[in-house]
Order: sequence, then C-alpha cells, then structure tokens
Amino acid sequence: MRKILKAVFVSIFCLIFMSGCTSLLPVFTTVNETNNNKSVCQYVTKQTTSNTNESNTTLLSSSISSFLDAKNSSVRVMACYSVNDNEYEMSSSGFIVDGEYNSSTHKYVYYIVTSASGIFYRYVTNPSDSIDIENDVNIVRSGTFEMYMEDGNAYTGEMVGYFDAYDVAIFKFQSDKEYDVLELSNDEVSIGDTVYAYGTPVDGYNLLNTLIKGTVSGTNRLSDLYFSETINSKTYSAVISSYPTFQFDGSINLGMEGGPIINANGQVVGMIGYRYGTNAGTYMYESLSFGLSSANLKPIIESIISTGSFTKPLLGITITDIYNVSEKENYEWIEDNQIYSGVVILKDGISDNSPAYNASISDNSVLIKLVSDGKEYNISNLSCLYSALVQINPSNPLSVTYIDSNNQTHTKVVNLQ
Amino acid sequence: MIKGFKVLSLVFMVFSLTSISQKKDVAINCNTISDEEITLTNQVNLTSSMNDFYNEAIKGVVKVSNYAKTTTQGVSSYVKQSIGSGFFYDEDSSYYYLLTNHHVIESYNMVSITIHSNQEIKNVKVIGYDDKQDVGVLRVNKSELNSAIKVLELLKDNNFINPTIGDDVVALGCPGGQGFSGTLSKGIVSGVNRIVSESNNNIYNQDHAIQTDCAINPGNSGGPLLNMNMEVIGVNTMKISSDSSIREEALNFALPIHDMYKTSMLIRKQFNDFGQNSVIQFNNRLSISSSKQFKSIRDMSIKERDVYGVINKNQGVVCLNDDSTLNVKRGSLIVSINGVAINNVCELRRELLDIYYQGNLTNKIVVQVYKNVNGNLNDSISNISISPKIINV
Repeated sequence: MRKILKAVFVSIFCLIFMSGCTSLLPVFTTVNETNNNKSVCQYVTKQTTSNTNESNTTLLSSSISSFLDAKNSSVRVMACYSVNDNEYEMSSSGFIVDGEYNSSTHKYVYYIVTSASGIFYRYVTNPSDSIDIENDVNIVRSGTFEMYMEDGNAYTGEMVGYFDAYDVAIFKFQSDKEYDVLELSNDEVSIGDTVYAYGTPVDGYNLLNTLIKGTVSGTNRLSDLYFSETINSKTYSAVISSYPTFQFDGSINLGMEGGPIINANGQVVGMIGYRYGTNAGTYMYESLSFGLSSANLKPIIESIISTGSFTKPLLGITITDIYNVSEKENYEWIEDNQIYSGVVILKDGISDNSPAYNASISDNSVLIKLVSDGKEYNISNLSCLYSALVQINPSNPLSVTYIDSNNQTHTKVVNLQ
Repeated sequence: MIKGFKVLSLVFMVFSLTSISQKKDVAINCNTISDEEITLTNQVNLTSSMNDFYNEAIKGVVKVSNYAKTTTQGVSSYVKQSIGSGFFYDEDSSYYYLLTNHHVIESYNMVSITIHSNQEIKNVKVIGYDDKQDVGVLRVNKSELNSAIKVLELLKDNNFINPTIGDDVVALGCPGGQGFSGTLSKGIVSGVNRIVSESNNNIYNQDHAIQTDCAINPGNSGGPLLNMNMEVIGVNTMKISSDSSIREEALNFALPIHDMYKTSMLIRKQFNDFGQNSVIQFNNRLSISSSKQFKSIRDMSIKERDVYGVINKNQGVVCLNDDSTLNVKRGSLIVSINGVAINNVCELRRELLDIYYQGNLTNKIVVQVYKNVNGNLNDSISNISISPKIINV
C-alpha cells in the first residue's frame, strides 16, 4: 500500500481583476511581461516518438454533432508523483484535441489537453511570509499519468509538453479504439451565450464527466492563477501567472479544470479554468467560473504537439491596465485626453535591445492595437494583449499602434525575432 | 481510489432551494435564430409557460414536517424537529399516497403535510419506509384536504429509463422555513447512475443517483425533480458538502423515481398484507451491500483493474469478495443477469430489484460471469444458476 499524505491538497485558485473586488488587490498593479516569460521557457525535451513518420499516419477529423457527443472524448487525467518517499496524486480533466492513426503499429495516438496547474504537483520549499513562485516553490512533472474514458477504458499516458503561464498541458496515449477529436471553434464566445462543460470533480464519488451548463457572463477577463499550500495551518500563496479568460456562471468544481467548454453545436469554445471562491474565506461567492478561450488554446496546442513547447512572443514592455495608473504622477494625460481603453506602457517601461526598443516605441504611452498577418487585434485591456500575443505568428512583422503622452497616435512595425 | 484527496462527506439533509432565473436557459434554443426580436419573444413565452408549469406542478408538492413528542409535567406536546418535502404520486378511491425520503421522517412521533393552499394536515399515516434506499411512503385521507391537489405523473416511458444527460430539469420543494415554501429551481441532468454514499456511516448507501446542477438545499429532501413534461424523474435527496477548505457547488443528487416507485409499491403490498395499523420497515438486502461487494470496472483505477485481472475489459461488474447471494467468487466479472447485459453496479442492483418487484421468484436467476482463475480472467463466459429465494427482504 503506498502512503499518500492526506494533507497534500494543493489548492490552486484564481483571483480575478474585477472592479468590484479592488479591495483584494494592490492599488497599483504592474505586470512585467519579461518576468512572466522567464518561468515558461523551462520546457522539458519532447519525448521522441517511436517509428512514427509522416507517411504512415493519418490525421483524424472531428465528427462531433452535439455537446452530448463530446462526453466520449472527455478524459479524466490522474497523476501520481513520488516526492521524498511520499506519493501524491493529482486529478484534472481534459479532452482529445488531436489524433492520428499509425498504420504500422495499428494503433491510434491521441493528444489530450488538460490544466497544467491541475495536474502538476507544486509544493513550497522555503516557507516565508512572501513566497516567490520561482524560487520558493518546486514543481514536479515526472510521474505516472492515467487517462480514464467515458466508455470505461483506461490508458497510461505520456507528457508531450506544457505552457504553465496559460495553464495548458498536453499528454498523449495510444489505443486500439477510435475516439472523436474535439474541434476547437474559431469563434469567440459572446456574453449571453449558453455553454456546456464536462469535467470530473475531485472526490471519491465517481462523478466522471459531470455535465454543467452556464451562460457567458463576461469576456476579456484577466485571471491570476494562484498556487497555495497550507503547512501547519499557515497558508502560503503565490501568483503563477496572469492569463486571459472569459467568465461564465456554470458551477465548476475542483478537478474539473481542463475539461472542454462546448457550445450547443459541439464545438469547443474553451477549456475550464477555475472558479473564484473555492477556497476558505470566499464562501460568499458563487458561480464565478473562468475558462481559456479556444482562440488562445489553438496556437499553444498546435505548437506543443509539433515542437513540444510553446513560447509567447516578447515585446519587451512593462505594462498595466489604465485603471491602475489613474491619478498617478506622469499618467494624468491619459485621463485628460479621455483615453479609457488600451494598455499603458509604463514610463521607462521599454527594455533595452528588446523588439519594442528596436522599433522605437515610446514609453509612457497607451497601446491600442496590434496587426499581424492582416488580422487586427484591438487592445482594450491587458487580457486582450495577452490573448493577442499567443495568437500572432512571431515570424511575421507586427504592427503596433499606440498613443503617446502628447496624444499623438503612432504605428510602428516590430520585428519579434 | 483517490486517497490523496480530502474525503468529502455527503450531507443528507432536509433540503430547500434558492430560486434561479429561468431566462438564461433560453439561449440554446435561439442559437439558430439571428433576429433578436424573435429571441425576446421566445423568452417571454418560455417564462410564461414556466410559470404555468409551476402553478400546475406545485399542487402536487407538499411540505413534510417531522414532529417529536415531548412531555413536560405530564402534558404531552409535539415539537417540530425537521422539515422536508414530499409529493403526491398515487391515489385510490379514498386515499392519496405520497413519496418522501426516509430521512425526512426519521425518528418521527408525528408527521404532518402542508399542501399548496397552506392547509396543514396533521397525523398523516406513515405506511412504511426503507432506510437503506431512503424511501418513505405516506398516506392521507382524501376527505381531509380542503382544496384540489395534483397527483404528479412519474416518468414511466420504456419501463423507467434513465433521464438523458443534458435535459432541463426543475426541482420543487420546501425550505427550512415556511417563508420559502414552494421554491422552484432549474438546472440540467449532469450525470446518471452515480454511486454516492454517505461517508460517516452506512445507514444510507445510494448507488444509482441522478446528478444535477439544479440548486438543491436543506429542505428540498423528498421533493420531486421534474422533467419539462412535468413527469417526476427523481426524488431530491443529497448534495456534496464538505467542511474542508475546498468548497463544492451544485453537486446535487436525486434518487431515480423507478427504484423509489418499485420499493414504495413493495412497501404498500406488505402494508396491505400485514394490516392497516402496521408501519412497514422495508429492507432490501441487495440495496445495501452492492457498493462494497461489487464495483463497476469503469470506476476502478488502472492499478485496481490489475489487481482483479480485468485490465483488458471496460464494462461489467467485478465481485470484490465472494458473494453467497449471487454465488460468485471474488474477482469474477458479472456481465449479464437473465440475459440482460450488466454494465455497472447500478444496472446489477436494478435488475435484482426488478426480479423481486415482478414477484417472479419461482424461476432460477441465470448470472453470466467471466471467472477469474489465478488472477487471470477466463476467456469463456460461465453460467451460474441461483435460486431467487435468497433475495430476502
């Protein structure tokens, strides 16, 4: 019998930047894009696939016709890690996003996406009053992974890659059986849309693929992905990253993170993130749930499946939302000129020799638009910017439009490479 | 088994509901409609029909009050100790019959019902109950009611099939206090055949529940979960609630009406046999041990499948210990009973309840199993014949 500590539960939850909740947050919040990216570049080497070459594999296509069919492609992911002679289990949800048939081994290979924070095991190594996710928290990714399907089959999986900053992890498994691949929708969700989601709550009650229903309550939200652990009744927490989400009112529970959020046509519009208020002290909150949209998932998944990793392009700017600098010295011009939408590039917020520096973008300015490969991204807040940055192809020139402190609008072309 | 996680406890309580808006559920029907005005019209229609639905269905729902008897200075009086819900499900020439949960009327001295007109009928006859399946059956004399009530239809299509996952459902019930009587809440069916049980003791052990995200709260227990045809599909009974730092939401369960109905009919049959003054304490042995004695393969971890030698199978019920009732050995994989395929524990339990319910106790029961020999599942299916008489009550 393996020993599994009871107190290992690592609760990771998200706090949301909402105007109504400003008391929870520091008044002046800056997000240093450069620092954010440091943590996400430590990719493991992609496992080499055995004897799989292009000529004898066939890509599978989706044949999902309604949200109900999506259940058969939803997966419960379980991980077991061995740390200092103790074993720890993590459980999350996921779904099949890609697959191929290998005609030489006569097996299907399926790729599933799940929540990185839900499946990887983090623990505090240096307990102190203010812990840092980089230096004081260890993350364990090598363990055994099991995939449980709706049809009763269970498979052993293998990690392909991950992008912690946006809470994405990809695994693969082999099977004799054909499963449908869930199609990621190209359409963004709109407020008021009905969405469904499948996920398996963490508990002993066999609630595999619980279906929930909700309405999209908000878009362009910025979620802070938190890690927290309680040691000797003291809770330590740190921000893993901030990432763009949409909000809905379905009742997701711990363990359902990573499951597919589906529209009525059976297209996946996002991946379940977290519900605000799953931790102690937030008992008043209800049905504040968040998900990562398919538009953001798609490029990350494609990159991880083909190369084993994903790298978010770096502009080299230090930024914040407009409401964070209102009535702050140096930034009065923003309100004076009635600019309410955009992302503030802070004074002295251009890193030396960065792509933004090389394109001579001004600091103390408001970024309002990106154009890449003919596609326009209106940047009304940080969430929009984070969302756009994972969608653009860094090999294309990026056109950046911003307003400087003289209220002049400029467009500069940035070379991201 | 996930042992690393805090075990959650199911709270069996008298449930009540908070109301939710019905309007949000309209969008799915409107996906193909681009004209916003049509959408608005649909919303109005739906809201008004939901109100009609409510006004009709609520006539079948009652508040059930459980009174304890206290004696002070030689004077006896009844004190209300808990409140739940119930509903009318059957009638004959002189009586209406009601279903509720056993835990709503547990350790009662007197039970009363309050119908939609706010009339309270005291000293309601408790015909019997099954504490393992959490069924309680009440009877009220028709002449005692001062206004018309509705006997709710039960979902009987195709011999009580499971509701479809994703279906819209409505819960009706009564609150912890008179102030929230007749509360309506709406949700969907999130899952069927869920094995849920209370972790603290084994008094209640339900292994076949309907899971819903419909708001269900203390005071709702015993109330009906209805589909949009106003048929009762289940009896609201449980929700997951834990005292740990993790806060669950909307993991609620109703017991399927087919099993409740069959058990209630068996209770009523015994009541008629034993006489009108009896209270039947029904106990179907098969309903209690199944989740310890048997386990569906699909609920097993890869390691557990390995232990029982069923790693290459994905459907069926594994016998965890030698079982004398069905005459099967530990590690055997049950795949059918009397020719009916058994994919999970719920289906096994339901099939055995059916055999008893149909009163067909003279024929042999044929159980088909894969036998586990030395940790390896035998490729051939064996037939085991058992005599049904050992399915005792």
